[in-house]
Amino acid sequence: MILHLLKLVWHRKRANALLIAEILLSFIVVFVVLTMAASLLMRWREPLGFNYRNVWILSVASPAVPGDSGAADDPLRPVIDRLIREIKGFPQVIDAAADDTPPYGNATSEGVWRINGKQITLKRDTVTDNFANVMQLKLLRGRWFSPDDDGLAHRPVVIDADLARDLFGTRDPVGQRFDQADPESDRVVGVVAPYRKDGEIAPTAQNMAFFRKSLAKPSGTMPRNILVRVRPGTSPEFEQALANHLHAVEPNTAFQIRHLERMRDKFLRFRVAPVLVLGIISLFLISMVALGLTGVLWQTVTRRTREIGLRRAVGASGRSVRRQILGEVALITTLALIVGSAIVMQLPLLGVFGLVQPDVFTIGIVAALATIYLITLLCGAYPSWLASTVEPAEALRYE
Amino acid sequence: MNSYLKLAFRVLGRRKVFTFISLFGITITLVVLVVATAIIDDTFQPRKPESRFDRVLTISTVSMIGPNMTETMNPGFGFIHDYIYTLPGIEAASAFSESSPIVIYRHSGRSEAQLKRTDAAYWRILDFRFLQGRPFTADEEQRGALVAVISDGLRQRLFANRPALGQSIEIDGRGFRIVGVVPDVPITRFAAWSDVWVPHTTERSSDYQHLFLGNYTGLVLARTRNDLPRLQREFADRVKRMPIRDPKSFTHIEAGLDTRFESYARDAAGNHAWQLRLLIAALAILFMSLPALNLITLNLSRILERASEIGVRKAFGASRRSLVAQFVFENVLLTLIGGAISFVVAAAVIAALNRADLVTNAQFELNLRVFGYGIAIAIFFGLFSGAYPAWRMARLQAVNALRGGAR
Repeated sequence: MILHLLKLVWHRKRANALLIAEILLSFIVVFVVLTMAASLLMRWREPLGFNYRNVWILSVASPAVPGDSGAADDPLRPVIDRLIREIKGFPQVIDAAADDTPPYGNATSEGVWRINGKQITLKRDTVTDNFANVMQLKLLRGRWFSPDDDGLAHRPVVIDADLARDLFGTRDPVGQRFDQADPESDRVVGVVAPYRKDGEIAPTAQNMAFFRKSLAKPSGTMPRNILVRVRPGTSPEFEQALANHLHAVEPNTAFQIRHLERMRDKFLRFRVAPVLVLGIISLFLISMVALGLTGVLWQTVTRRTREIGLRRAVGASGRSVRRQILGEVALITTLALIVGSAIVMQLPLLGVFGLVQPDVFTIGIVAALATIYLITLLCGAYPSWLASTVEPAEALRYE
Repeated sequence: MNSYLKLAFRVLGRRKVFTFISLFGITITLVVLVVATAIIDDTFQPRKPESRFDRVLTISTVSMIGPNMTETMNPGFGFIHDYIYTLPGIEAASAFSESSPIVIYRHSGRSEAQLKRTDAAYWRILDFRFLQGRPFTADEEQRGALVAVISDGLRQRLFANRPALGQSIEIDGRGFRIVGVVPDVPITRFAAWSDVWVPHTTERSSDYQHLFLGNYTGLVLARTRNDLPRLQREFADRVKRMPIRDPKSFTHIEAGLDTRFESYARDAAGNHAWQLRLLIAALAILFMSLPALNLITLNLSRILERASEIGVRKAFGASRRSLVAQFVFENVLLTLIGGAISFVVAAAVIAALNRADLVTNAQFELNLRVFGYGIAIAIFFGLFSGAYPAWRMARLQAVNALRGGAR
């Protein structure tokens, strides 16, 4: 049966080659869109590792001191310290901490760590002691930073669970040297739940590492953002009162207050909109292909009226004619999808989809295969029904 | 020609379902391309307040390059002051800071807005249309006067219908007097985009004035377009002679004065402008290939319908070339009809985009230039998708065709 269909398809190879190319292109389009959608949805369901609600960001506008010489004191340190004290004095404020690269911001600090010959990309952030309380991080092992850390010989580091797994495998990370090759290295003191700075759309396994800055003693360039957790339902009047008070305390420092929730809205809108637009365009493209395919199959059936009539005349049932037409469609689709899958399979080998996890990739391929089969068979439904209604007597007279 | 036209319409009217399917595909393709063209056109064409940008050069990145690391940042104010303000034989030079978010408190509400710090020359290089008032002056820049120009959108948010000129708004805890109001600027106009403009001298400390790297962008307005290459060469010479403060980490400096298109290319690919053009064209053709394939297969499958007509024409001595010409003509006509529909749909899509404010303050439009590009794209698409089926049709054997048995 299949061999026979193959022969039929081969017989009209030039027209079928174009159809195959068209289905192949559609498959690739559907695959790309579905993979993006699947990856976005799966990422959205993962926990963030922090709570963005009721957090304000006070950003100090001050040119960074060129070069971070580590021990030199930043003239801004006492300013940040004073601002945090003043902020925490208000009853509407739960807690406040300084942070270098806040969530949903454009600034990100990345590093590459070499460990046992393995390269690990990680994201870094520099924060003060109350950061975990402000952002409501979940501590899994060890401890978070404390003011007592000022007396330590080594700088403490807190890493997230993803980085702990990458760096230390199954060993207990607490107490390990952060950079195992360097005996002077910072020490890991605690592990928090995976923290995704870029929010819902960020890939999982961000590999976050938090470094500590002291407010009390000189420790290089200070973070320029102060995160403030306010009590739910705090009024906008308080924001203005806070700003006025702080301007009075620090007349030589310019700063702005933004809301983390608003930053999140903007950040996500900016990144989800392109995917949405792409999805809508692809939807139209695929519906266009579906209509075109229906048209082509319809024409083919009209053209082959005599052939079909002959089959009916020698005893084939309407159902078997219908099966033949649908079988040919399925065969053409299968040929296109074999080539398409072969092309798509190259992507992980080339490392193009470094950010897409294997399971998302599999979901993308399977969903795209199913979609294309469904569409082509639906397109074949009407023409094949048309073919099954051919009257042998009429058809054989057909000119 | 006239008979071709009549024939074409007769053919299109014969099988309405197929004409509809073809038109549907063509329309969708062209709508996407026309909207994309409108967006690209709006981004790259000089338009108020950047209508002089065909003779403006910008510098927005400076790279310090060393054996182990590369640091890329905006130039600082000191850089622009030393190396841009002093370029010989220019009409004007200006420095402006990256737009940064601010919050303006008024009564019991808060408004988020964008702030740019700049100089008086900025208002000579960019031709803002002032709805009210005036730009700030060189004298006000020198004194560090607390004056501000605001956008109409912000004026509306802060003052509704009450007069804004001479009113004071609070920025950074200081009161700035409003001296001018300008129309909203779309976010795509990076040099002009902002809601509030104040003199750079109103920064709280004067440290920024000496910075080599910072958050400023430089603009140079040349006297004529022909002057641009000379200025780019002059600046390149200056870059070579710049002192390097930290010779241990960095060995040389990379910076260039770019035209508008070059600076986009530098952002997008770190490369030359022609590659960006090529990329846009390649993407457009790639995008067109699926709809074109669709139209080709559809046209091919309709050969049969025309078989007897082709047979008659061939039997009466029509050349293959004239048949090809006729079928391509029909296909182009079909795409042009699709093009006309797609302009109507694209206008609606663009209106929706503008209303949704997906691109802040952008007002995309279908102007004559976009219309011209659209027609060109439609004709190209018609030729692209019509050539192969036409060639196949013209190759039909007259005898077979007359019998109606095309294969």
